[in-house]
Amino acid sequence: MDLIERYLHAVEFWLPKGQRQDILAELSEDIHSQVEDRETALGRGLTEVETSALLRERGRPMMVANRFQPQRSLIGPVLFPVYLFVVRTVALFYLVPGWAVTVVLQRTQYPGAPGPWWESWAKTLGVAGEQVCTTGVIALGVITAVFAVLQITGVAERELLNWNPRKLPAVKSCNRISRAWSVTNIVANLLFLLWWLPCFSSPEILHGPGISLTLEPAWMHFFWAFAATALWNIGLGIANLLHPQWSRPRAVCYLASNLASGLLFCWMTRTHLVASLSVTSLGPAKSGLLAHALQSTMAACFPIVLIVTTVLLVVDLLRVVRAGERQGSFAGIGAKGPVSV
Amino acid sequence: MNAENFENLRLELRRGSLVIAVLAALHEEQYGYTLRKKLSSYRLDVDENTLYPLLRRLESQGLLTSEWREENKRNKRFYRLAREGESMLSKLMAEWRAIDASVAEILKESVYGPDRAISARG
Repeated sequence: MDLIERYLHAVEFWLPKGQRQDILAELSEDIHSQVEDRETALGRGLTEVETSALLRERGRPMMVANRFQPQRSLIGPVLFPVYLFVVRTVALFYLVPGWAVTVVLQRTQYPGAPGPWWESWAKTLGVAGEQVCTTGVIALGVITAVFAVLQITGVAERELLNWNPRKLPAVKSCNRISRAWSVTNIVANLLFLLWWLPCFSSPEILHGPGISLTLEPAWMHFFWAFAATALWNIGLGIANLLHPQWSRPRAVCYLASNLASGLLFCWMTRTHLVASLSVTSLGPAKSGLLAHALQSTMAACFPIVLIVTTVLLVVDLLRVVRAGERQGSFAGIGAKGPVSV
Repeated sequence: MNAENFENLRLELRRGSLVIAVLAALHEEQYGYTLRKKLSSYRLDVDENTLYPLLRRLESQGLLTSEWREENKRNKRFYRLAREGESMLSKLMAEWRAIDASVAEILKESVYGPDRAISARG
């Protein structure tokens, strides 16, 4: 019997306060009735092992008590998908860019300590990771708290359940290339060319009264390559305006364009481009140091350029795959949609 | 995975029917343990951790009444169907029979094909 008392005592701890004694009395009665039944069947008292087995069958005290609690959840099933969406959005558009910005700031403030390159990079990534984790935990806490308040007050649930089908957004064709995107592309590349062609067409890119910056002759390769990429992008933009549909060849063209730009950027950060820098007010020694700092900063940007390029290429690759799938599915159902018989 | 799926679906299926069974069984006054035994004698085994919270919920909804009474030198809580419970039970029974009839018809159609099911209906 001592075992039963201990069991009931353990259950009591987890029971809702207002009904504790009432539930416990009923539970105690049920256990004693069951024990009595078994004892009658066996014709003897239950051993401690048998009583223990009987209690074990009923379940862990906390779980038993839990069944008497009202159903509780911090964020209910109606709000939970919205909560998950907000958490994912914050992670993607706030934490990931935040991490990248922290890495850049760390690298520009502390470009490198003596020792192997990977050591300073590991330190930078560690510091950035730590900051992002702290921000992430705080962001998650704030979002959860806000949703918990919305759940408790019931405001958001009422809003979600009160909806109008006529206010649903129109279906956008994911195969269609938006006109705005194409125009932005063309304008951005045109502006780039207007800035690029007159300003960087010679290795002597700066020669003012008190400052002159001359790049290595290799610069001209980059100059023409970037100009060609911009022209190529303008061509793609025009093609998009004329035929605003994603197809596999179009997606492959974008992949090739971004691959070329990415490789160019990566190559540029790894190339020694600063031939001479002279700032009259600083003097030759400090100008040399400035030129070195400029070159080091460019070199330090290499991993960031690599990460950005990789992300862009992954997006482009997915687009190529999806364009192929869509073409396949269109072939199956006909160009105008499913055929109904 | 299949066995687990079956168990989850079985529990889901039983959940609603259990309420009807408990309400029906409490036309006659019972305390928890005897109710459990009665349901079990009809091949409806109910876990005590399911039954007691259900009884409390039904009582809080006004479908059952209960009173503590001494029997065989022990205090027991006796449950009985309340008036509101009786009307709820008849509504639930009607609903249950309608569902049963619909499912039976669907099953018949899936076994014998739509034409024979329609002629059987007619």
